[in-house]
Amino acid sequence: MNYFLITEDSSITLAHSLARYYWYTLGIELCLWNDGMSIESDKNDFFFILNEPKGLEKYLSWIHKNDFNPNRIRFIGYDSNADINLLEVEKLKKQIEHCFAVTRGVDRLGIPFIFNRIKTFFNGHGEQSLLSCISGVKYYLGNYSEMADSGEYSPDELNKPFFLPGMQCWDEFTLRFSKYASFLYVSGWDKQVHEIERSINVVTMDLKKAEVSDCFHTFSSETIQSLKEIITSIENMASQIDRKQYETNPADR
Amino acid sequence: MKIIFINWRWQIDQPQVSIKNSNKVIVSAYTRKQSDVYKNYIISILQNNRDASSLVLVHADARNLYYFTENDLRITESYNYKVVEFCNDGLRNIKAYELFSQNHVYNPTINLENFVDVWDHFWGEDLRELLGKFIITFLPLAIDLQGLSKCLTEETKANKYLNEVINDLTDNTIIEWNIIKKTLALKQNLSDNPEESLPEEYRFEEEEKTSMYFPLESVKKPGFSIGDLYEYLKNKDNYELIVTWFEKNVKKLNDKLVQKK
Repeated sequence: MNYFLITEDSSITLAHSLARYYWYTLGIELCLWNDGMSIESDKNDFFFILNEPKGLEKYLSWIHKNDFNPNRIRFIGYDSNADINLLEVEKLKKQIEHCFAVTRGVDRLGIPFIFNRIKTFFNGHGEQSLLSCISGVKYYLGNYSEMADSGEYSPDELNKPFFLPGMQCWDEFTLRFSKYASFLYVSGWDKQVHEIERSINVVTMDLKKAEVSDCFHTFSSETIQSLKEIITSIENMASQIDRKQYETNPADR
Repeated sequence: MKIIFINWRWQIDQPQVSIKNSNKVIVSAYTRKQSDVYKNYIISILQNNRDASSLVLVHADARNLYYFTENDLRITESYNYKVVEFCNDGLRNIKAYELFSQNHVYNPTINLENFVDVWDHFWGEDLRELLGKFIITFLPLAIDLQGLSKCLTEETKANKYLNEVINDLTDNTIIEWNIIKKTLALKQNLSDNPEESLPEEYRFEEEEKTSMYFPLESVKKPGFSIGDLYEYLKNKDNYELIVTWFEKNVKKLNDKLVQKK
């Protein structure tokens, strides 16, 4: 089992102090990680991240892409939202030991930077909300598929009003998902992220076939099922976020 | 605590160097006919002003043929002014105009009622950042000393630990601390004169101020060298003092400068 500390160069002095603390008081070798390093991590490795929003997005993306165990990530910050609050210097040893004991269910949504990013994922940043985007996929592509199957319409009658807007919604959804997936991945939804990524691949492959086809395209049952699964997962996550938002600030609703 | 406007107005008809000069605000306007006089006037104002909490707002519209930039002002770092370039074309910060006048482009009038808001908008942001600067400067040392205090029963280990800590210490910690103190106007010579210290809302009580000095400093003789710090760290009794001092200062800076907003 290895222990990595992920930090920006600007906090290198602090990182050195932490590494010394871990080594001399806990007997743990804390390896400092920077951009250029490649790690062959196993599922038991621990990643300590110095919570600096500047570099956080990059690190989370790296953790997600490398499929590291999100339950082995610990955030080190300057307030009680972090797993280890550095400002409580006198309780540092206790905090570090305690954070090893927590294996699941760490509330990442308590970290404002992560929670705000996830809220943006669902609410949009000037564009439509994610749920209306995914509803668009469901409405346009779902109807396209059923109406094409009925044999009552010509391709011209369905492509422009249904297929093209459905594709636009799909592209927007996948783009937003890829941008924010890392935040979901470390927030207790790693399994859902893997499932959605798998489902996105299934749907995308099928839609590619439709794009090159001149006639109607009938979606496979696997595509239909995958779309349903994506929608269910996203809706579940959205309702959890909604609840969390209400707990955090009821006035925001 | 003073605001100095440079080029509040330009392209004015009548030669005019100073349109307002009080103990709080100096506002200057430029006329092309007196450009050399004007430039010398501005530089003399800045060089003679000793108010450490001054805010210098420079109207730096590129269309102005004789505009100043921050570099033109020749303000030495020791003055510790906050210099902000601004103009009203939306490209730079126009907060000064918004707060200080009706923002009539051709005839802006100065509203001194908003003096504190303008000062706070530009200078206050530096103060609010001090907590972060303080944490970055002293947290590593606080962690080291807390760690060291847990190893004191193992002499060899503690000595090795201390050596590593000392080898990592640089003058930077002291330099940063001096900048923080200066921004806080903690130095006695700045706080003696009420006009030269921070506004009341940012000011620390005498007792609070005394306890904010680093444990090896005294109010009468603030400042210490890296050698002083090495010596100080050789005494194990001082570890706890520094850690406690760190935690208390974080709380004070947070309460006074951050939570206030």
